[in-house]
Amino acid sequence: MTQRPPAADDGKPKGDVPPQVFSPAAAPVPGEPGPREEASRARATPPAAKPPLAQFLGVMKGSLEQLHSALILLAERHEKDYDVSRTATILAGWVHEDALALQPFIDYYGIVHSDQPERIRAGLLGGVRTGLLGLMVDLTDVSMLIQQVEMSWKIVFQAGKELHDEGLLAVSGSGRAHAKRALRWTRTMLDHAAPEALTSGPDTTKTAEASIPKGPDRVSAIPEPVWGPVAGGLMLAIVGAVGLLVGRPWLLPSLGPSAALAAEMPAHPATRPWNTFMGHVGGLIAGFAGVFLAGAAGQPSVLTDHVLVPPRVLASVIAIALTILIGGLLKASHPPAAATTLLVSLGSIKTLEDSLNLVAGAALITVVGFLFREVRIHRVTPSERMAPSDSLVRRFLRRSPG
Amino acid sequence: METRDSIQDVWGPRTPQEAGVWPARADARVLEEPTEWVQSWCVLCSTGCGMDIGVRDGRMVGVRGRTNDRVNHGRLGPKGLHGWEANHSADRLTSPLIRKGGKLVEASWDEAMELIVQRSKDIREEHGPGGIGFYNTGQLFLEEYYTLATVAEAGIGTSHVDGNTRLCTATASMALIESFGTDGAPGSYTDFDVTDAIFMIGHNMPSTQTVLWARVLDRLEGANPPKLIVVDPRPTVAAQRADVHLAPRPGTNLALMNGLLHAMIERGYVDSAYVEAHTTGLDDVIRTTDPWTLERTAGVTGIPLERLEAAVEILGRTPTLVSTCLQGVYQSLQATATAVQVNNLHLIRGLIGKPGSTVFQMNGQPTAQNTRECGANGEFIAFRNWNNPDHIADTARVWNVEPSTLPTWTPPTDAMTMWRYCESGGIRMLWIMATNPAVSLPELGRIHKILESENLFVVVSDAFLTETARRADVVLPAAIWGEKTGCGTNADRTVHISLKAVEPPGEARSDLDILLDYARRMDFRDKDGGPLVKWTDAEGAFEQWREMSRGRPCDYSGMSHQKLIGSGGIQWPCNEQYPDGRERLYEDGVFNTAFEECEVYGHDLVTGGAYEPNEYAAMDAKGKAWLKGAEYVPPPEQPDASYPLFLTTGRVTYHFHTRTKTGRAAALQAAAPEPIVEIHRADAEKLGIADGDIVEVASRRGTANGIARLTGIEPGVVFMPFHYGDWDAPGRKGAANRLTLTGWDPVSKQPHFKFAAVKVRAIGRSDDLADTSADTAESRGGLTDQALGEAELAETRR
Repeated sequence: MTQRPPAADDGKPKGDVPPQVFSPAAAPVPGEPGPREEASRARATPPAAKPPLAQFLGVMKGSLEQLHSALILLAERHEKDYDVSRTATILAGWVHEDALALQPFIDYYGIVHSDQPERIRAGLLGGVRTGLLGLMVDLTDVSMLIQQVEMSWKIVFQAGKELHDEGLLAVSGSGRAHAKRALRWTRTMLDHAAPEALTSGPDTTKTAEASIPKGPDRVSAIPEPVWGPVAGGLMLAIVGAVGLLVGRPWLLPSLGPSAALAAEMPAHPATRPWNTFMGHVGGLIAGFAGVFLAGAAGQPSVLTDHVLVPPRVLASVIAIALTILIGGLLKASHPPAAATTLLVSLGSIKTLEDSLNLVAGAALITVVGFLFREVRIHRVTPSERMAPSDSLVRRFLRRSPG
Repeated sequence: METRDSIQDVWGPRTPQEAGVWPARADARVLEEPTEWVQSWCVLCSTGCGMDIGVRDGRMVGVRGRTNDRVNHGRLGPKGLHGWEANHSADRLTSPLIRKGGKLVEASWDEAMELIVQRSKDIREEHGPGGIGFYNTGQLFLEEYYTLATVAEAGIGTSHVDGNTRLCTATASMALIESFGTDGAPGSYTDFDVTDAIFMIGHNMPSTQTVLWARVLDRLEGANPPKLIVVDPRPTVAAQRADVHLAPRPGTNLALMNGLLHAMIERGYVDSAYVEAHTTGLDDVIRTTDPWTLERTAGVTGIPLERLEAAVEILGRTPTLVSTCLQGVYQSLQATATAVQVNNLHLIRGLIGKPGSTVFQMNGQPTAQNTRECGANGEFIAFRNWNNPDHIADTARVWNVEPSTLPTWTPPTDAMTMWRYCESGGIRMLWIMATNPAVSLPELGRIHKILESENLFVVVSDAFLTETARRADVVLPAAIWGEKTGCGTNADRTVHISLKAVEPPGEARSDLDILLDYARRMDFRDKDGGPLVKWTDAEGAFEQWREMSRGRPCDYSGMSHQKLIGSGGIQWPCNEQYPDGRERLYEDGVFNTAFEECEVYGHDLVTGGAYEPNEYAAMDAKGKAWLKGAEYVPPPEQPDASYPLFLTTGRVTYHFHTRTKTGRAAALQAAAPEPIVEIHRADAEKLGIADGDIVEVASRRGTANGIARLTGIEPGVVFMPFHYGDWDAPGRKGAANRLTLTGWDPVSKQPHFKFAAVKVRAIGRSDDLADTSADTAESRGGLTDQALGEAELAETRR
């Protein structure tokens, strides 16, 4: 599990942000089944075949998850700017609500997971983002994710019309209204901050503390130029140390790109554990297949013998094509695995023992990369973190009188 | 000679209405027989009581209430009767000070002003006009705010102009704007005389506006007393008098209002004809209040269900209603959203714009209203819309400048953001006028760091070397109330004039004179090359202000200094149509919400997201009032195992703001010399705290000390007044704002002071305090509201 799905029982407020629906009568009454529950209960049997909507629900759900995480990142990075951190947290709550509201429809229509939202997210919110200028760029990035969500809701809404699904119309209408309100907010913040951010000097006080201190999630606010090298170095240090400890050559060239990718782009889907591990295993298999098909098994090894012969080239061509093909079929694209492929096709990995060493190294970098990735991108909302079990929030969340 | 002991008997003897008229009662306190009485009004709260200053041999010797004044009918409260003594304090500033080698040393006016002008020019050259900020107050006069707005916006061209009114009145103005289109109290204090019910939300009127409370008391003890509903977590005097006292948990105001509105709508307590004809947006309120059944509201707010029921029945059935909101709403969570729901309550019942029915979005400070009108606190001048090109052009016309030079590309910067820019280095020079942010702002540790930063050039004009002035680079000695002439407007739009009664001490000058000098030295010009600031005194400033306000909701065009002299206060709008002022706005149910008239295009009350002009135009309310709903969101900081209590801050009867004046009036200071910490008896017992113990209150941001007072405050909540800095007791750690957190309302940007998680422990007995005054140790912390209330009730029963 690399994504943190909205858990249904995490005590998040289900009522503090009542969904915007078209008529007051359709608003859910706490403690009573809302229209969505009724709608999904009425349809006991799911449709026989997953409609194309299921494919899009994957995009919808993924977009909400990415936006939720991005909003909390925004809140944490810009804690000194109270209105940013406070409102971004509230908006994250809305997105979470909307994701929960969508779940019954996913259960009913089915879902085909998509990593498109993750790919979009991976290109955003990188680099050093401190001070007002950093805030401006972050707000712009988050606006893009909100826009993606807003448009996705619009598409789902249109589908709901065609399907005459009142429940889906209500949920997508409410979600879209939330997204529009979120966009209005980011635009307002940009309006206000732009003149100061773009015309005055740099933030001279990086050390000012936020009013309500952070929990352990401080690491998410470390700027990328610091995080990247430190994380990348540490990952290889751990793999190397384990190798030294057990006396096996588990530190291999193709693990470097994996570590670099996990350190530099932790949000990218290619750095997920499945992708990392299966990518390397796929690369290994593809490499051997290439060597076999090109008849290159007996040829000199390029890296140790310093000669390049045609069968090795042919083996590499076949192997790299197979690697990308396997990655696509298994939904395990992991570009660094191509280095594993070439290690095999160019003759550096030949034996079962070599292969097992690589698998062990890949497993290690997968585990280590997963840990670093989680620390860097896993998000807990501040209210979840702050609220003790008997606090007002919790009581409020349970909505029990007294 | 004093007509009554206002310290022991804060509100004075009862004077019930005679034939529907609130009778006069001439309160006075003079130390010597005056040879001359000079017209003025009291500047120690927003009530705006007319008073005369007694003068003998060039010194103030006393004050008396003006019996012809429409606000107070001769009454004065303890702060009014005593506060003037501060004018003659021995520690008044009499000469400019400049920081040299880390120390503030005396300097000439020329030297100080040249330094300020040089820095202003350098910073404007190097960083642009946005490098300069002005942080003003609710204590100056209209003419001074107008001059400040002219200098800052048309002269320098900075949008960083705000004041401590952001702490006191920003939500009042935004709530009025969001609902009714423009700022301005719809009603009149006379509405208290005839109303059938009063709803006070987070408004400790008996302490903060004693004369207005006397007016209410005279109703409560007269024939046909109105029903009184009070929302306050503390057992205030008003709460003890209330028919229904609702004590919500901190940070749940909006949940309470949503619950009340939900029940009223559900039970049909709606004037459908009024709603149909004069409002728009009921669906939005129905949607946002829908989840808030009274049961759920009771669960979240902690208010017993039967009390909520009782409140709903009164609010739903009363034929007339006056509601008042103050800091309990404005300085708490979701401030604007909550205040707007109070407006909504009046709108759905059609109880506005008629005698006995209005909503008061109250002010805290005496001239807070004028900072709003003059554009010195983040509103655009004379309730114009900074986003409306026609309004900008009209402003530029009066100032005779090019519209493009006015800083209207963003909304005026709010105070908390200004402090953020001071922190981040965007603002290089901050001119602080007549206020004391080093005590009044939240999270003082941070504010002190900013003020002391090398990168920020701090100018302070004040009458005293306050906690803020001590951290300044240049201190300018200011002439204050009684030493200069000017006008001010109270919370029911009544304009008063205060004439110069005595000369300022030493070289002290009024802020008006300081600003005029600054404008002359900076050589600000209009577009024809003439001087931008064309006046040389208060009357001249008022004359141009009449032009600037002409045709606006706050129309002063029919007023003049001469007309105000001798009057009992005149309400705006005052023009050809209303030569004697207009008592009530919106009597016809037509509000200033049309696209061309409105002051702001409106906000999402939960996020603060602003509507664009084209969006507003598309849904133009065209004179109908807005009904805007808002979803409740819990506070960002909650009590937990480490900090198990909720802190709320506020005021005591005898002090105003940071005690700059009231702390220098002997009787007021003696009545409340040290900060108290109100805590519930059960909580105190658990913590081993006895009444009179010195306790330390700690939050994640700092600690503050006070004297424990065990009361019937809500369990789990502690209260501390915020007045106590350390100017009179070095080393006192009494400032409650060491504990509060940096946070503010998304719409009005008013900071939060009403909730912070804290822990409390006893650290000593108050008997251990060094004897600094003649009073006994028992009274060192002063009377609590509860004690005052009990004494007063006992008095009534006798």
